[in-house]
Amino acid sequence: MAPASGPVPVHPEAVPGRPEAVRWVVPAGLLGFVGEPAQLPGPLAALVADGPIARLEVEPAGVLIDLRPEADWAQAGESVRAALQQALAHPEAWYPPRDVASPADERLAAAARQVLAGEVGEYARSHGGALEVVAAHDGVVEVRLEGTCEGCPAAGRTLEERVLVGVRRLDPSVRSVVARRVAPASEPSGRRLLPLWPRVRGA
Amino acid sequence: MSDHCGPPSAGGVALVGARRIALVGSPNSGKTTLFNALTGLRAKTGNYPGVTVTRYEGIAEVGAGGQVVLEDLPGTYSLVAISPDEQIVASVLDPADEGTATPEGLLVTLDATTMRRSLRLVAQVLRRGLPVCVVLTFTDELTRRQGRVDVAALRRALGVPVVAVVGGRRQQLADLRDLMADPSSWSRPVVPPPAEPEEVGAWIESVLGAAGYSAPQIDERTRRLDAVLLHPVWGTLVFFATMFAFFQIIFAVAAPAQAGIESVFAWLGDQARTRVGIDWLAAFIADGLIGGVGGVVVFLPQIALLFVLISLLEGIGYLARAAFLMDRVMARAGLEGRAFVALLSSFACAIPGIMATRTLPSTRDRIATMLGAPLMTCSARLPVYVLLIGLLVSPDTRVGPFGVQGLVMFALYLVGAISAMLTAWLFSRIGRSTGPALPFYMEMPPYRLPSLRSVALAVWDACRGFLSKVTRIILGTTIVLWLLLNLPAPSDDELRAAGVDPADTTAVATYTIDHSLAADIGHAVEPVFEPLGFDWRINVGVLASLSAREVFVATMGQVAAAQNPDDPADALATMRVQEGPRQGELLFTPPVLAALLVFFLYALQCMSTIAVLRRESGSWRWPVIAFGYLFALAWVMAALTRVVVAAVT
Repeated sequence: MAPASGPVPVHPEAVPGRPEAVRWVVPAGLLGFVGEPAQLPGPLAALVADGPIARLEVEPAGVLIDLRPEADWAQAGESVRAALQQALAHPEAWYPPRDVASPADERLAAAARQVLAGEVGEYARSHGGALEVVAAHDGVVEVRLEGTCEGCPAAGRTLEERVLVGVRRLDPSVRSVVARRVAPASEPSGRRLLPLWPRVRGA
Repeated sequence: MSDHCGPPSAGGVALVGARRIALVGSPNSGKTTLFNALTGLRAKTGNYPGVTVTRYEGIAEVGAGGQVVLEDLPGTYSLVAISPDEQIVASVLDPADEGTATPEGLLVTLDATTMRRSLRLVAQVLRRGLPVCVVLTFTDELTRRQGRVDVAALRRALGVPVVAVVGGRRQQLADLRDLMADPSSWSRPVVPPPAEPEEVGAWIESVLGAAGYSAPQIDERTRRLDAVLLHPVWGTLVFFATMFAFFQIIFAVAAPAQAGIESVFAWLGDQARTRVGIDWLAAFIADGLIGGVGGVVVFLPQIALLFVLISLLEGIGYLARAAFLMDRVMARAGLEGRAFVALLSSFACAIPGIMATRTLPSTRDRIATMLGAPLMTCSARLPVYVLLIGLLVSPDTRVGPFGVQGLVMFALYLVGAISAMLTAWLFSRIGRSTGPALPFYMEMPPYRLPSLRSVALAVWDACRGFLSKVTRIILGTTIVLWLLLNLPAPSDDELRAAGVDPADTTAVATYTIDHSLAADIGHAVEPVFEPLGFDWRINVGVLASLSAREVFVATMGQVAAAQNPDDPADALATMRVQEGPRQGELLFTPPVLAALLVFFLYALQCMSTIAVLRRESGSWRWPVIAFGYLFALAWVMAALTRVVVAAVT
């Protein structure tokens, strides 16, 4: 992290297939919510109100900014950066969207969903499994295991090593990732790990 | 860009319709290794118009069977132009600059082990708006030292192609070559990095975070060794002990090889004398060519050994530490670290040292360092030192376990280095203006075993350079000298009149030399060198060595070979003063030898150095000042030495 006095670390990344959008990567945990802010600090608010910005959405560890069709990043880039840099120096002046009960839980859930949509989810899918965020509250993410993940003995490690680490990079408030078991409909309560092995109860 | 097929300057590679891609990077970022790997060492060198920064260009094969002209720009830490090198990089990257052709794409080398610093240059380059491809180097070392970087994430964060290339590996190079085929297709950053230094720092922080970068650990072994070797007291002691051992080795190890080469030349000389029918031709070959040039070539083992040791110390990683240690001393005297690095390069030859001053931002410091560089003991002084020390001290003289020959050599190098630093310091003091304090980075490489190839390459380069100097400058000067020493040829009547038997070839040769044109010249300058104890023969040697210092050895070799063809070394040792108050005494007495050694330590006897000084400083003023003050210094110090040595012996 940068010292409190210096500018907030930030850099822009292109969004594939959407030339009007730029994802500004900001420090994880800096902004306490996700979604379209109800209110923004002055200079940035001005760019949204009557400037080139069409839409601004806070993501975990990112700010996604879409420009109006008539604007382009080559021109507006510098002014957006300047305004954003200024605004990020005052995270308390960013207001979460209205009607959100717990902005922190929303942010955690969004971070977890982003992780599962990315490489970690890809990894699970490559093994014939699937992971889905069920809930997030007070630093705990609940994930449903599906497909081959369900009952897989390596699932615990995947959650611990890959999901938790990934979520922590986007939201440092995460404490743990737990598997929410779905009651099996037809499967027997024991499961073969390998056909040659004896059945294990309550694996 | 209409002129991109051939820049207006000399040395540009003409390749009609070819793309131009330039290589940008910090010093030591693997830029030149990449350039060599991509162009297969087929580089053409020339100069940039108006300035004397060397321009390297080569043709690289790229994907789809195409070719591009690749230009290796000088290493730079920043595009904010301060030194001449940096100005070149800045103007090449500036499309508005008409003098230099703007490349169509830029390859930027990024050292993976120093990304936090090196990304500053990348940020500046990205702001130029040209297509950029980042080549990530030293990722193998990053991994070895427990560092990490996600190349794909770095690519996303920078918004440009990023290719990791380790030491020119084929597959990685193939990917790069494919990319180089079309720079216009490279992705560009949606919004370029910021310009303001603090914001750049934040941008770098963010990019590195996104790329999961963890900086390499300092090797535990390296850390422990550095605790001693970089210690102000122990480190300095180790440094001097190392240098001391260095010169002991040069004398002890090279001697047998030198004796071998000497006997080969002696045999060749005999062959020439017996086989060649024409007398004057036989004398020319035996005394002029073999006695003169051969006399210099004998020192090849010493030169080779000097460079084996230097490149070993450099390869192990010790030279950078020595530079760091000395930098602390120099900094106290108000000299820049860059100045010391330039002086250190002069250890081998003053010319690369003078060229290295280009990295100095202040003109005053640059001139000061240039004037000091010729005092560092270059390898051309080595043959002269070895010859004179051999006459001064017997190889068997020892102080405890150490040979005195090595000790004297060590002292000469030490005095040379101290004088060089004092000179640089003195000149930088005169009318000094305080410029901005600029960052100076000195790479501290981890200790590692040097690669045999790089050592062999350095030695080969040095030996080749030495031999080519021998065949160009030294051979030419030797032939001129031979003519001067043997003309006019006396007639038989003249010989008889002088009481010399025309049948006695040795006596005739001695008579001829004593009455030659060279003798006239030597006598003419006698008043200048008389206080130093030099006779006309030494004077001729000193004058001839203005072309290159080794010529002194060649001249003495010719004179000695004429006097005693069978044992020139003995002829030199027993040479006697012919006239004046010291007539009949030995010529090479310890005071005279010491004075000669000191004279060679200080005098600027090297045409190449003078030419480079002229080129780099842009006028004749500084070379003339350098030559004048160094000559005066050499004369005064030599005279002092003669008096002091005469008093103690």
